[in-house]
Amino acid sequence: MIARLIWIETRRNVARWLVPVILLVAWWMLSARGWIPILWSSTNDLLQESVIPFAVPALAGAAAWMAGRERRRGTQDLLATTPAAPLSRSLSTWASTAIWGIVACTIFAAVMMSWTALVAAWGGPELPSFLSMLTSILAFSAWGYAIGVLAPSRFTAPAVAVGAFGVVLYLTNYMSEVSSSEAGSVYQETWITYLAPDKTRVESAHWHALLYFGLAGAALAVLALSYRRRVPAAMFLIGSLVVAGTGAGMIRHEWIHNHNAVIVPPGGPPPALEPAEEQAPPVQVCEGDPVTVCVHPKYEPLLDDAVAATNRLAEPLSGLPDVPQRAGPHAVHFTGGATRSIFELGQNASLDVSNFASHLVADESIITDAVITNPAQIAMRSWLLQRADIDSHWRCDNPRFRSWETPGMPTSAGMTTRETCAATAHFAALTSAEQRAWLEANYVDLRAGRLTLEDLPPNS
Amino acid sequence: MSTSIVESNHRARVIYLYLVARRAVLAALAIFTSGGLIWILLAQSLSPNAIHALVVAAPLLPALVIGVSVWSPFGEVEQIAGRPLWPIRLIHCGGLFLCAVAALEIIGLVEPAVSRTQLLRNLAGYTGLAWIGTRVAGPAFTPIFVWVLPITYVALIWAVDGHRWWTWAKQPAAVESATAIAVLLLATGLTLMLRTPRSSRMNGGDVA
Repeated sequence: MIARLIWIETRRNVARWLVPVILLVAWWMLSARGWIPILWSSTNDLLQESVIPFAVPALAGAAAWMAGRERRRGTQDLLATTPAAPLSRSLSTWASTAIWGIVACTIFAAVMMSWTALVAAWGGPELPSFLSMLTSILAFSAWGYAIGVLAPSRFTAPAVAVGAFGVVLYLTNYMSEVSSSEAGSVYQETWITYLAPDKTRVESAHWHALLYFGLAGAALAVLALSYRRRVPAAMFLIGSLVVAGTGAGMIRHEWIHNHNAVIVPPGGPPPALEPAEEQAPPVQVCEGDPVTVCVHPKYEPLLDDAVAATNRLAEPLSGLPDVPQRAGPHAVHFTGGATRSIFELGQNASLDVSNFASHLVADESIITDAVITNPAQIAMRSWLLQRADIDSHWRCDNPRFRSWETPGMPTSAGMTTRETCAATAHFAALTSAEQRAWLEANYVDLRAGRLTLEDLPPNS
Repeated sequence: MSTSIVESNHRARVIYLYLVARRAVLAALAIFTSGGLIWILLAQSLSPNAIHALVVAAPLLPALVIGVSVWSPFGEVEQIAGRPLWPIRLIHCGGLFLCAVAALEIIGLVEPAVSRTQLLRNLAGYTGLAWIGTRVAGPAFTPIFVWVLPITYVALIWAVDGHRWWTWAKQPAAVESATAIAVLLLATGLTLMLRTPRSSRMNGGDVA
């Protein structure tokens, strides 16, 4: 009978109208946060950060609204004469509301994970985090329902929705003051921040699940108490609170353990991992000829473009002595995640090969923190990047980084200047034969840092 | 008793009944209670992040109370009356909005670190969104979906880094375009609330 009740309630539940809204809002938030489908890490993190902030308050509000239905429709007396226990009616109404939330989250997770499974080359889904997310839906909807039963009013549903939204927002942004001085106070996240349902990490996902299961149980026990099942409900309430407290306590314990492991040795080496925790670094994937690009296997879907870009960069230098033939992680790095536009997904990830241009014009021994400071090398790097049409802030034709044209714009070491860009323009104006001849005569000195701007054509 | 006194008493009684049907007194109490809650939360908040989150999100509470208050079970019956309803709606909506302004003004006075302009701007914008949502959702769904539009909006802007024209609720108080958008939303919402919809569903309720 319970199953039939749940089926009837599910078909007639107002939360079904929220499913498309939850999906649309989550999709939009995914876009705004810059989802990168090729990375499982991005999928796992953004799944909860996109769904939770709206789904949790929406379902809590819907549950509070559903809780007042019998009173609103004036059917309390009629239903009181039926043989079914009022608690089972209430539980089926709450369950059907939560089911629609779980359906929305599952649809969204299925789309995200399927997409990533098709295009990702490394990693996997974090199912414990997903399950923890579902338990938070259960807990918030259960409390919404319980509040709706205890305080039925037209104001209850919006108040519960705003309250749930506020709880998530407050937990996520909770910080405590760690030091105070005249210059100002310093705040940092605490373990309370990690109680937020959208801050679940896979290491503590099972404790999150325990916390929210306990909270859901406590809400249902409060509901049962209102139906006069005093003793069993009170026992269930105590048990649920113990479970929730255990979950919260373990989250706190893990946070303190991990936090101290990171910050206790100031300036010292990172703490040694236990043998069981040691993980061998994944074998890099390499591709390309004559220049070979080697990256972490998770970036494999982007490798073809990176190989093409690095070979375009190295093309004018082919056959010259000591030209780097391998671009490793120090020369090629991942960029992505920035918002481009609403609903545009997966278009903002790439491997940036600008650093490889630095390695082409400067020997590794004179590159400090990925920065070259020799003006002749800077000028030639700009030429290589412009010639290969690689998007970079080191190009002279990038107006956003022509600092000498914008008063007040800060400059930093290794950036182009008016003089280096003039030299780049002069070199670009030469014929291919003249460029090749100059490179054959000066490339070794250029890489060694022995040239100045005056040594570049047409001055040389 | 002169006709004007009778008419005056009659008008006052209509307004009184209209406000009672909308739980206006309860709504006003809820608005001031939410103001007290916001003040407690602000007083307990230490970090700038938490204060900023509250300034952005807290005005949702009084705004949604105003939004929910416009629902009434007697909408269709009232619409066939000979008396124009927009002045009474203006008294109802405007009165509750002024209550919320007063509640947030008091918070601004006792918590000088909080920008009153930001609180009031966000209240205006969210109230406008709640009223627009009320009209869009229709009378059957007003009490359940009146909060969907404002909460969706705040959830969306929270996900976006940086300032864009539509993230007005997150922007500093000095940004005039943000204030203009909030006022425009309030005016649009109020206009929608004051006019009588051409048709309403036969569902035993209506808004405004």
